[in-house]
Amino acid sequence: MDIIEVKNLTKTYKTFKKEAGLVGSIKGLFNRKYVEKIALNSISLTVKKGDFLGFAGPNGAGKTTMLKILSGILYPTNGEVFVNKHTPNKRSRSFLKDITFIAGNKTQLDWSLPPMDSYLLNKEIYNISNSSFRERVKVLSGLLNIRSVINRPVRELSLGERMKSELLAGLLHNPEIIFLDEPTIGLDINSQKNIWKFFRHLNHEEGKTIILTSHYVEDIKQLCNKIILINKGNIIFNDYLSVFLDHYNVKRKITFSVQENVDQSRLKDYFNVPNSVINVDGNTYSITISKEKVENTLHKIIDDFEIFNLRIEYEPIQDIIAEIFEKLNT
Amino acid sequence: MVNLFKIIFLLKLKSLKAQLQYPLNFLIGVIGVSSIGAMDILLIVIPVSAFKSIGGWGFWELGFMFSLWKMSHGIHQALFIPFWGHDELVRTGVYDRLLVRPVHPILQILCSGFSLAAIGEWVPSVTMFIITCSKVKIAWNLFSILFLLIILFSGAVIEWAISLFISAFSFWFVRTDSLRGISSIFLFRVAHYPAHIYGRALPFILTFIFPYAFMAYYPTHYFFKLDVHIFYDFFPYITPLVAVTLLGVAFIFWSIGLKYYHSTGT
Repeated sequence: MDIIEVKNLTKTYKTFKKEAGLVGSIKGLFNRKYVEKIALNSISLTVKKGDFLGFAGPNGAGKTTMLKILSGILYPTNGEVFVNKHTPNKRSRSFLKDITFIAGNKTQLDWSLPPMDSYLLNKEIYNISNSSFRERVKVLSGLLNIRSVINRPVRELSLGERMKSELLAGLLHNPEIIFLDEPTIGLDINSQKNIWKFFRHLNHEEGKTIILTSHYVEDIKQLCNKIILINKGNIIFNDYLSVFLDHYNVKRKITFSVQENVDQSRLKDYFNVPNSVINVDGNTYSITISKEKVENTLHKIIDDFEIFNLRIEYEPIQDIIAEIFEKLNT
Repeated sequence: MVNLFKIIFLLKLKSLKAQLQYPLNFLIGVIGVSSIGAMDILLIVIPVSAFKSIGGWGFWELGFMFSLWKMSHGIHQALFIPFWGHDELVRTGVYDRLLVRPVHPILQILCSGFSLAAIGEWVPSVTMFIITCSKVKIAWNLFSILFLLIILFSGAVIEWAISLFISAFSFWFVRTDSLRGISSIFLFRVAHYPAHIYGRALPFILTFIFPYAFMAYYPTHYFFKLDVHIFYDFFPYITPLVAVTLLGVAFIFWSIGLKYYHSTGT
């Protein structure tokens, strides 16, 4: 079942062009040149119930705009959007109770009060009964490991603790659809891993549909079953993560060390792939090739050289995606 | 409905608690606003004692008008002041959070601040009002007392409606402080004296553009049975109507503006 349906969605912003300096500012007062910026360009997509979808793309690609239109914060310029059969920007009560929007760089918690005060407020806003409130706080604070934290003022919490308290605030009302905007921004690797575990629980055990944007492609690789690449407001890839990897993850890096007595000058030209052999250090070399050539190359290396320390690696997903965008934008 | 009041109460309580985290700042706020209020009254007293009357109005008429204005303003400060921070809500993207909650954003903003410093507006204005009423004969009856209460609340709503209208501009231009500054000159300076002393342009502005004259100037005519010098004779009676209409217009304008809310990037 499609829980989210987007048809030909376009979002444009009008901004006026400012020239630098005082003279430019004064000119701008009388002769404004408006520039129309296309944030999203005729986008169509669907999301199934229970999907964990990640939006990846460079800064300003339209990821956050997309998320904000889906959650009813922004009005679309054109096109149709349905989320759980609602039109998001009408912001009906039942729609807003079905969703949550959690941003890594914005807080709904009051800086000077303990998170619990904000939770009690959300309890009333979302009309949560006493028993399910207690239950939900208990379960979520246990999963996030913040039981000792939620009664201390927010200003005393670490960034990781604050983010976890934030997640709890956003999930108290048990929403079906969870929008996450850069949820791991600025977190250390341990907090990041804990939060991944928590998101997996929400998706696998509680069956929530989750839509995520992140600069850290690793977030998407760890969590999502679907990936959408978005560049300058256009979708350039939209499918399962496994399909993405089959399609784009085509290079392998073989790293090996040779014995001292090998004629190393020979190595650079040996594999017939120009510039592909790199001297990592001393007598360690690496070669990056397409996955079809792995078998042949390995044979060659083993047969023709005395080697030790052989290693074969996938190309890291962030490098693959960075390369895709670099090609598109040059 | 009960739940709604509980939400309002909790929001206000939360904001009060947050303020009381910094008790000294809070105390200085109350004292400061009270002294400014007392000084405002002094600034009325001085010119009036020098000229005896202004525009045909004596000290007590002027004092009554001023205290009426200031009590309404005090209600505004207690209930509606958070809209003065509206630019910030737009600029910093706090609206994102307001829009995804199932409570109307305007209500959430109203509840986001609780200014006990408004007491500082009430202390001098109520004192002034009581002194005035003891010095002049106003025919108080059930109707005029009820009318007074309606006027006080309507005045606060007028001030808020104008503030809400100005707030809506921030969806397009983000910053509205210069517009708010102009409006404040009429609210805090021009509206302190009877509008008919100003000639033609200013009374027009005070009645039709920034209609602060309906907060105290026109209603004072009713209580003192004075002749209306400018515009229409029924103006002293329509303050509540003006308040409701203005609020409606401001609300519609705000709703249109919301469609242009950009939010801020991440």
